[in-house]
Amino acid sequence: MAQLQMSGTGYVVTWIALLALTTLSFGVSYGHLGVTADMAISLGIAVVKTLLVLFLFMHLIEQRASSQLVVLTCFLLLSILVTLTAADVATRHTFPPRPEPLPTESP
Amino acid sequence: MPVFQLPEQFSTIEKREHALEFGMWAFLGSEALLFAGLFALYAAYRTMYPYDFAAAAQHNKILIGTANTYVLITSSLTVALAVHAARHGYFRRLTAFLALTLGFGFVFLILKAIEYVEHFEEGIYPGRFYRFAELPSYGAKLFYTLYYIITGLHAAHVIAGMTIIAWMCFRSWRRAYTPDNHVYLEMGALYWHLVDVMWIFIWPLLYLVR
Repeated sequence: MAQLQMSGTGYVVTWIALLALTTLSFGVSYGHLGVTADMAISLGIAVVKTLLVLFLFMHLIEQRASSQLVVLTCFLLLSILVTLTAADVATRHTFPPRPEPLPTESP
Repeated sequence: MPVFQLPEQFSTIEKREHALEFGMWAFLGSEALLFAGLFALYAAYRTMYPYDFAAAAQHNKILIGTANTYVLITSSLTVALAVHAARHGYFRRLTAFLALTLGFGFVFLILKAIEYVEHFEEGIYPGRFYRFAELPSYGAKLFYTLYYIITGLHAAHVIAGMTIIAWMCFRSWRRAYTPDNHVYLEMGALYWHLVDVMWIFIWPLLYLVR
């Protein structure tokens, strides 16, 4: 039994909010604000939409904290994985090969 | 309608529901981490080929992608309303909403198929079969290979979700879900919502950031 229960109207209001956020995301993408800003804004809006779906459509708001902890852990793990992978690639520095020794040099 | 018998390992109905829901969330977490690997690949290759990825994303069909986003969000609404109907014992409404969700799933797959066919006509194939003359760079080929893997795996999840919804639709027609015992319906709905959440992240990465 849940103490907090979503109502039928609540679902429709959440749906309208999700449609509005989608339209906003779509519109902002035409602004071409540069790669970092574009990525940050669109992923930020995606996170807000996901939270709405998670808590309201998937009833996470009604459930026990242990279920909510599973979701939080997934988010954390996912963000660490993606951030560190991108950081690995972005900070790579390759070195040119060692020049061949001259013939007169002894090993 | 038989009276629901609580299995003896659970002391209350709420504990049984919590145990089932917790297990379902753990499973959804594992599915999300499956896609996390692909998102990590995307992040790495995007860092290596930023301009190629932006150009390739520019070429993607944003109208079909955005339409698919609206379709999946609406299907999430209908499956949530189905669960709501089950909670209050509206059996015919429950079956109708599940059937509607299934319909939206079909619309999503049809739009995806149209998109794939248009890509094939232009010569955009995954991996070494790629022969799109307008964007011949290695980065663009990588983007589209990732695109096919990510959307292909997501479409497989959509089909799996639709199978679950179809089964639940049939079971609901047989009055298997009552206000007292419909936790299996809630869990099946959770899988469909996860499919929607995945697309909510896939859509900006593949269509919007250009």
